[in-house]
This record gives sequence, C-alpha cells and structure tokens, in this order.
Amino acid sequence: MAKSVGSVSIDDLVGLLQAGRMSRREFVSSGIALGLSLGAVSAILAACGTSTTTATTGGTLTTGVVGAVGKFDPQGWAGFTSNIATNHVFQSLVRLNFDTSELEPCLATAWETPDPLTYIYHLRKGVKFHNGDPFTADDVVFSTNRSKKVSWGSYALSNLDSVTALDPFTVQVKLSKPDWRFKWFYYWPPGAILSKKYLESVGEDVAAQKPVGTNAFKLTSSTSSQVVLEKFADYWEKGLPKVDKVVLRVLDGSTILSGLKTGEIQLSPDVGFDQMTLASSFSNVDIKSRVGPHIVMTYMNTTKAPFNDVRVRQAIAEALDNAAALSAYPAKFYLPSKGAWIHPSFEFSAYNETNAVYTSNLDKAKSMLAQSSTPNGFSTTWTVAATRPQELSAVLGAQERLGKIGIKVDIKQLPDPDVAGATYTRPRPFDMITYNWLHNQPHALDPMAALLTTDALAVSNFPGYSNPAYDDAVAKAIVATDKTEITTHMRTLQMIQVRDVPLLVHGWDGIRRVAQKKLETPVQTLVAEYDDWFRPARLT
Amino acid sequence: MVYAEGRCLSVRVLSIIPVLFVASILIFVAMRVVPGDPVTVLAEGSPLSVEQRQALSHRYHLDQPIVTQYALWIANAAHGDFGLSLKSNRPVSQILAESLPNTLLLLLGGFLVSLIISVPLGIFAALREGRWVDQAIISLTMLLLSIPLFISCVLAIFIFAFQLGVLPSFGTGAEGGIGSIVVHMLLPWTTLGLALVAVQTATLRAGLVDVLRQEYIVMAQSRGLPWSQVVRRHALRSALVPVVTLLGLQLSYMIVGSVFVDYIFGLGGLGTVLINAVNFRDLPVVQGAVMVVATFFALANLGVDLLASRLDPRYAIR
Repeated sequence: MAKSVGSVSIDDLVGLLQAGRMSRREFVSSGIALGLSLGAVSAILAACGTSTTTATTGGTLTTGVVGAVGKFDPQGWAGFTSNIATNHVFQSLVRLNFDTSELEPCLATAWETPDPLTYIYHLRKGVKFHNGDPFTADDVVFSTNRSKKVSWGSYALSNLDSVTALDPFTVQVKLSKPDWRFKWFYYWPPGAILSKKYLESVGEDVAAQKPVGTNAFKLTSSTSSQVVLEKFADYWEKGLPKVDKVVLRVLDGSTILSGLKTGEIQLSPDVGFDQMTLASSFSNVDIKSRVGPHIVMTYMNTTKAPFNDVRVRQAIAEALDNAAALSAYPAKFYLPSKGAWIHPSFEFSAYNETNAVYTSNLDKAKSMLAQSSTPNGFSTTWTVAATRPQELSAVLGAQERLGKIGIKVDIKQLPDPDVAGATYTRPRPFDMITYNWLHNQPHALDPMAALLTTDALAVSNFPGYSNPAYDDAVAKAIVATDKTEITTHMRTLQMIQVRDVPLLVHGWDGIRRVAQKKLETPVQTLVAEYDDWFRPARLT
Repeated sequence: MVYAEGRCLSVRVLSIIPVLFVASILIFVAMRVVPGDPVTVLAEGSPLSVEQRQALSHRYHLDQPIVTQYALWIANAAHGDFGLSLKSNRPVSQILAESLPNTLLLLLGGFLVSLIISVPLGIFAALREGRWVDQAIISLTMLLLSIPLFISCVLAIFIFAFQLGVLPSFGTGAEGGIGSIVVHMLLPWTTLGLALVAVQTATLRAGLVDVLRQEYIVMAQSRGLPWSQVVRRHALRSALVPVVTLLGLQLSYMIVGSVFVDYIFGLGGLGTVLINAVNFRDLPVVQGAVMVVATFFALANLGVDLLASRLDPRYAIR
C-alpha cells in the first residue's frame, strides 16, 4: 500500500511527475514530506526518467537580485533592488511605451502644452492607492513639490515655477523659462506620485518602509533578504497584472545563475557581465539587453596637472582602442566607442561625427603628447571598480596602450561604493576614475547637462570641467523651442566634449534582463532601468 | 560548595561584559578606518547636492567626532538599540532578529550533521587503529578539511541543483513546511557539517585510542564485560570530553563558515545580512551583527565549559 499524507499518496506524486505537472524538485520535497528517504526518491526519479519540468501555472515569480534592500521612496534613491520594487509599486502621469519608447498616458489621460511655459495634465478618474485612498490632483501637486525639495532628480525641476490643482482632476505646471525636457519629468522615479494623505498621516519614515502607490503591485513585506510584491486587486488597468506575486530574492551572483538554470529563478536583472556568455548557453532562458542608456566613462581630473592640459587628454583619447580592449564581450551586450558620447539610439546624438575624431593611432597619440606640457610622458593612478569586469577590461586595455606612449598607469581597484564616493568627493581624490552614467531621460541632453556644466561642479561634474562656451550651449539647448535649433546646440556640445575630452567614453554596456523563456516580459524601453516589466508579464 | 560553584559561574558570566566591550570598540574603530564613505551608502551614486549629503550625514551623526559617535552608539546598544540601517532605515535589531533564526537553523543542523558523520567514523577508526580502514577514514576527513567552504558550497550547488536537479540551490524552504525545510537545508547543512567532520573525527579517534589503553578499560574487559559495553559506557564518555572542549574552537569556525554558506545558499541569515552590510558600508548593521556574533560566541564558550565540567569533574569551572 502506498504511503499517503492527507489525500496525497506517493502514487499520486508519481502520476503528477509523469504527467509533467510536477517538477523533479517538487517531487523530492513532497516525497520526503511523505517519509521517503532521499535514496528512494532518487530511485523513483530515475525509474520515471522524466526531464526537468516546471509547473507553468501558479503566479509567483522569483527574481534574483544582488543588491541590498533599501528604502522604498521612489524620489529618494535607495539602490537598484529597491528601485525594482518602487518601479512596480509607484507610477506617474505618463510612462514610456514598451514598444516605441514614446510617452503614453498613465495616471494622466491626456496633456497639452498651450505655450512653452505651461503644461496641463488631465488626470485619470477612479484610480486608487494601495491603501484605498483615491488619486487626485492634490497628490500630484504634493509629489511634485516634494520631489523638488528632496528628490535626487530635483535638478530636472530647476525651471519649475509652480504646480497647481485647477480642479480635482486637472493639474497645471508653470515653468519659469522654457524647458523641453520637462515633458519627461512625470515618467521617471523622481516624478512618481505619492499619496499626500498617506504621507502626511504616517510620516516620511513609515511611508518609506510601507510604500503606498497606484501601480499594479503592492509591497506586502520586506526583509534584508527578500521583498514580496503582491497583485493589487483594485489596479486601474483591468486584467493586469497577470501574475499574483513577485518575490525579489537577494542572492549571490553564482546562485542566481544556478537558479536561472534550474528554473527556481524566473528573472534576474543582475546577472554579471562576465556571466552573460554562460547564461546565453542555457536553453531555458532568454536574454534581453538594451545597449545605449548605460555609458561607461573615465573622468579625468581636469583641476590638476597634467590633466588640465587639453593636449594630454587628447593624446590619451587618441591612444585608446576600446574595441580591442572590450572585444571579449558580445556586441549584443556591449558597444565600444571611439570617442562618441551619446549612443545613436538617443535623439540628438552626433554619434557618427564624434566617433570619427579619434583613430586609435599610437604614433599620432605619441606625437600629440610630445606637443603637450608633459612631452616625455608621466605616471598616473587610474581608479576603477573591482566588481565591474567590463570597466576593468577597458582600463586594462588603456593601461597597455598608454604605456606605449610613455604614460605609466597604476590601476587602483576599489569596491563599487567607494568608486562612487570618490566621484562625489571634493576636492577630487583621483587622477582618472572609471564610473558609469545612466541616462535618466530618453534624450541626449541628460548626461551632457549633468556631467560637464559649471553649475554641476559641486555635484555631478566629476571631471571638474568648466567651459563658458559649453555652459552657453547647454542653456540655449534647454530653452530652444525649434528642433533644428536644439539639434545645432546638441551637436556643439558633443563636439566640444570630444575635442576637450574631460571624460573618455569607453562604450555602452547593456542593461540586461535574463528570464525564463516561459515568462513573457515586454521589450525594454529606451532607458530600460525604470521599466515596470512585471506589470504586463505573464507565464506561458 | 554549591555556593562556590555558583559564585564562579557568576564571575564567568560577568567576565563576558568586558570581552564584549573590547569587541565593541574594536569593531567600531575598524569600521571607521576602512576606506569608504558611509554617506555614499546613503547617496549610492545618485546626484545629491552637497547640502543633501550634509543633511544625511547629520541625521545619522556621521558628522560627529568618532568618540561621540561611539558613545551614542554604545549607550543605545546597551538597551538593545543598535540604531537604524543606513541602507534601509529599518531598526538594526529588527533586521538581526529576522535573520537570527535562519542562522541558528543552519548552525544546529550543520553541527548535527557533523556529529552524525564524525562520531561513528571516529569510533570506527579508533577501534581499527593502524589498519587500512583507520588510514582511509583519516585521509578522507583530511581531504574534506582541505576544501574551502565556498568551493564546496558552489560544488554542491553545481552537482545537486545545476546538474542533477534534485535539490534546491537556495533558500530555507520555510514557506513550505518541515519537509521543504529539510530538502532546502540538506545541502547547506551537509557542506557546513562536512567542514567540521575532520577535526571532530580525529579528536574523537585520538581520545578513544588513548582511553582504550587505560588500565581501567583493560580491567573492565578482564571482568568479562562485553567489548561494546566497555566502549559505550566507559571509554566513549571520557573520549567525548576533548570533543566537547574542542567545540568552543569549532564554534568560531562554524560561525565564520556559516557566513559563506548562508550567503551562497541565500538563506537570509546573519551571513547574508553581514556581507551585504559590509559591501554597502552599512555601519550600524555591521556593528550590530558583529556584536550578536561576539555575544553568541562568548555564551557558547561558556556553555561548552559547563558541559565539559559535567562530563568530567576535572574540567569544573573555578
């Protein structure tokens, strides 16, 4: 007689296994629960001769992430793991369409721009926050003003004059001067809509632990090792989300890779760059990679010699051969640059023109250096994150090339947070430092305004570069209303950068998402990092 | 006599306090002298203004002198308040309380597995001292000892989860009941347990070989007691004393080892918390976790001393 617990017997389990309705792992777990030894379970498995089959129903998705769990305030940066959660908990007035990357209605059903200084948004009715509070114009006013005060993206509101509720479902935004970038403010995390009533009643700290948004998933629990998101039953887009529950598990990179192979993990945005080739060999997973928004760059400290000499910087730029240094990485995951800063997928990119300035000619680089303030070369320290193989590869390749023109490079590897910290430290504690930048908005001006303007010297102008002509072109590009005029200024900015080279562009590494083939996820948008991919995701 | 024993025990318990005090200073200073800026943890590479960074620094007392920071921290820690995580803003005590059960589950299971394997092996080797079986057991256990834990963990996942697909590669399985826990924890327990087997087997074997040569054992055997009874009742009890005293030393190895095992198998215990906190310079969490480990270590050593004194009065606490 077969052993049984409740109404389930071993015969039932074997039947489920043979029918492909139970995985081998589930069979082992259930078999042991019924009192079978591991040996007996293994013997049955061998006798059944089934292949690894995972149940296709259920609705719980496990996502492997490597970053620690932080706070859940979309306007206050808390790291990539928390960002994944807040991307699915919060949303804003508009969002990027998964297929076209164009703005599409979200919490606003429509918007208009009667003049370059005015934006009017018509809000969606019947939307609820996860705690049941109704969404109204007051929440938009509150969230926008809060973002200007506390958000990491407050720089995008530098030209905000006022935000007003014209009625419960209409909001008017007035700018102090024209700024075409504003139309993207309500798509990214700093533009997320929070519940005014909830925040004022529970306070900032509680709200950051127990977030309340309007998106398809609500956060039900979080510990240091996992975050659980569950389907929001009152979500305004009927029929979404398709899955009931999403669990973000904080795991070691190798464990994530193993989990993807075994099917225990359905998706991961954190498979290491050096593991992509192995992941590509798994027959059960599909890899999406968006190359473009993530730029790998080296910032030269232009506030000190010899990097305050533009001829030195140009000689270095001429000597680099990023294509050779990064040849180990498939083109699907990496596009090397010859000097261009903005990936061609972004509007106003002058990719072809700027990518033709340098030719990776060592003789030419040597002769350029000979004309500089250090004709015989010099020694320098190059700081790079030890945990980013693609960045390390770029630096190792550069070290070899620069050695041939008389520049001795000592590579200093630091943990990732320390490299980030060094870029923000003033005075700048580095000669050359490699760090990446993510396009926060889908246009070319995003990194160009943030990284090299005089206004940003104390914040994100890492090289310490200051050039009135550059500042002037940025200011003119922002207020321009004619597309041809914008294009002209954008080209000027990219040409100044490539000639002055305060920063070296190594290339663009892909924002990756590795998922089981049975899990349908949408196409990555142009920016990719803020996508709420679980909203339309479904198991097939 | 009982009074004297109680007094000695109280002194031993109280002696833990200065140990923890010194440990607290060491870990506090160590976390301040290692490179890295905790404010960066809070900003995490985001383009915060200087004012925003200063405000964060002030909120978490990071702009205070180190002595003031320590005084504030130790005063609160004495009441069980280890402050707030820089990363998640949650109370550190809550984070530790969530992770501690998983660590204990791993440690107890790993220790049990090590005993289940090492005690029979140790006895078997001692009873066949000098023969090939003895040599084979010692060689095998030494081989196990020579494999670093992070290698054995990855190997175990590779073989049983990746290749054979019969065991899970991560998690405690707590959401699925006892059967699920056993299945999920089988690999972590075994990898941690096997790392302890060599020393335990060798110690038990050496102790037993020594005891079996004692006159009272020969006497007991000459009185006609069955050999199995002589071993079980007389020899094993004495031979276990060094194994128990060795536990104190092994505990430190287990705790360190459990950090790797916990992290690689994604168990969500103290190891995962500690490694993530170190990676992200989350100072309050690192300090809190290390203090919990230090306290656990001190108490466990005291427990081992007590157990040894019960097994053999010569080891009584004085």
